[in-house]
Amino acid sequence: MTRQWQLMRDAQTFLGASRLANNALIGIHFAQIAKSKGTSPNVDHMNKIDDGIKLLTKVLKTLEARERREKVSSEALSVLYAISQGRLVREPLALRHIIAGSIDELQRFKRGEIETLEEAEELLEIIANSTAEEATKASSKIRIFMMEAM
Amino acid sequence: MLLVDQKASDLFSKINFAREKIAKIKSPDEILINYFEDLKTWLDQLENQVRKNQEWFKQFVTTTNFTEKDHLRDEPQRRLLADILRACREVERHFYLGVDAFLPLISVWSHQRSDEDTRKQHKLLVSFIQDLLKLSNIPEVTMVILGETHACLPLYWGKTTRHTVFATLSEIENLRRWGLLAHEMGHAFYDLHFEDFYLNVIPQVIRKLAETKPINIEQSEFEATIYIWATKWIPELTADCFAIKNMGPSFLTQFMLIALDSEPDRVEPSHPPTNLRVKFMIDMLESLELFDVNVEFYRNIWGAYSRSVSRPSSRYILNEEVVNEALNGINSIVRDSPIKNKWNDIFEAREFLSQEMMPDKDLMSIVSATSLVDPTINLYPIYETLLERYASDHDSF
Repeated sequence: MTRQWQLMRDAQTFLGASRLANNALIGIHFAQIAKSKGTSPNVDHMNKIDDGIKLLTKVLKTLEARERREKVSSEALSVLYAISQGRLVREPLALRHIIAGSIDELQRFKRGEIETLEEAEELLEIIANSTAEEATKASSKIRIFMMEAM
Repeated sequence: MLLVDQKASDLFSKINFAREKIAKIKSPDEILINYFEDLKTWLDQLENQVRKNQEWFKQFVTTTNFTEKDHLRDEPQRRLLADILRACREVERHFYLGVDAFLPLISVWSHQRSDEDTRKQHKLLVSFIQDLLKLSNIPEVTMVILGETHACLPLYWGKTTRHTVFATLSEIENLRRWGLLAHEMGHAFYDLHFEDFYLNVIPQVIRKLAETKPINIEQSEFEATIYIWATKWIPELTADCFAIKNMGPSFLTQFMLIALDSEPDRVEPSHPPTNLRVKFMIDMLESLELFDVNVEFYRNIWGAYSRSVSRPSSRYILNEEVVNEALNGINSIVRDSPIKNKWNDIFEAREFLSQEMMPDKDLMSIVSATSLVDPTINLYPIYETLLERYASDHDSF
């Protein structure tokens, strides 16, 4: 009995989380470049930030749900695992504070109320990098077992 | 053409190759056709993602005047390029996991279906798997490949999940071993009921882990423990539970055989300790109350080996309250016990097989019964008769 099923599911979940964080970063960085050139950010780029807000909200809700025995998200659990193994080891309360602050920052950045991001960008970078790394680890272990066809 | 565009072009070629590979099969069989429809949709989605990445890169080049002659110095520009490259890598990974892993299986499947050496045994095995899916109410048809080892390969194509089951070729004539495939199908069951587990089992297990957390445990270890239980151990125990409720003692016997030389109390991130798994399965079996099944017999033979060679671990991950929460939750989601309705047939089939006679029963019952007869009985003639019955040239699946 091999671990194919586990590895495929792991890779898929980490890729899903990484994509959302990365989409938001693309939106943020396009917007920052536009602002540095004195032009208005493209609306489509700004809307990509919503993917990051969506992911962070899922993680925040899962952290809260973990204390109340309510439904948790597999994507959020994967994010919490990936970041806890790397650069962002925090107690749940401190982590909730960082995530809630980041969501608020992203929303204000989208509305044009702030020019720079203090925490959200770094948090999304950590999530995108650590989940992408976990996806790579899982997918590199997958082997397809089969006999020769011809 | 810039390198990023070349990468996109390569990926378009791969996507088109996959489309052509599917299109070349003029009349796919009734199982394969189900996969093709979903795969085509997935390829369209991947193509859209590659186009999106290309568009982002084009906008990036226009905005930053990027050329391949010098590196970037502006921080947001450098980061944006890194983001776009990461997006490209993600699509490549998706292609590898969902398409590269699947395409070669089409040829293997078709070959094994038609080749003189494998045709009949493959057909019989496919019948068994489809019967098992039907019995357990999993609304799926599944490709089966004779390969190196028992395994379940999931294919996550966007919102659709499909599975391919692998069976060990060298064990194909040993009907007793077929019961092990029920565990692999248990993974398909888990995928089907995925949301239920994240609503009704995993939160409760996390809560217990938090309640019983030792004070000196690091946050990273706590997160890893949650992750192992949620994504590894609960799915594995679910597959075991599913296998017992579909195959009963036949699965347990074969599982004990394959796990006999493992270290029974070893804690692995990928699988719960074998002792825990066997204990869970025996308890499940006991709760099924199948007549003439002596669960103490299984407890004793397993204990004779495991207690002699191993001692239970007292690690936090195996806290009794956590384990009980997980097992009760899993049991509540793997509700159906098809073995209960099948047991009469299996029992009668066992009587025939014990006298080396072919039972007039369905394939599932016969395969289940093979594990319950004296292991010295040669079941090869039964296997040959089954090939004739289920996989002759007149039949089709």
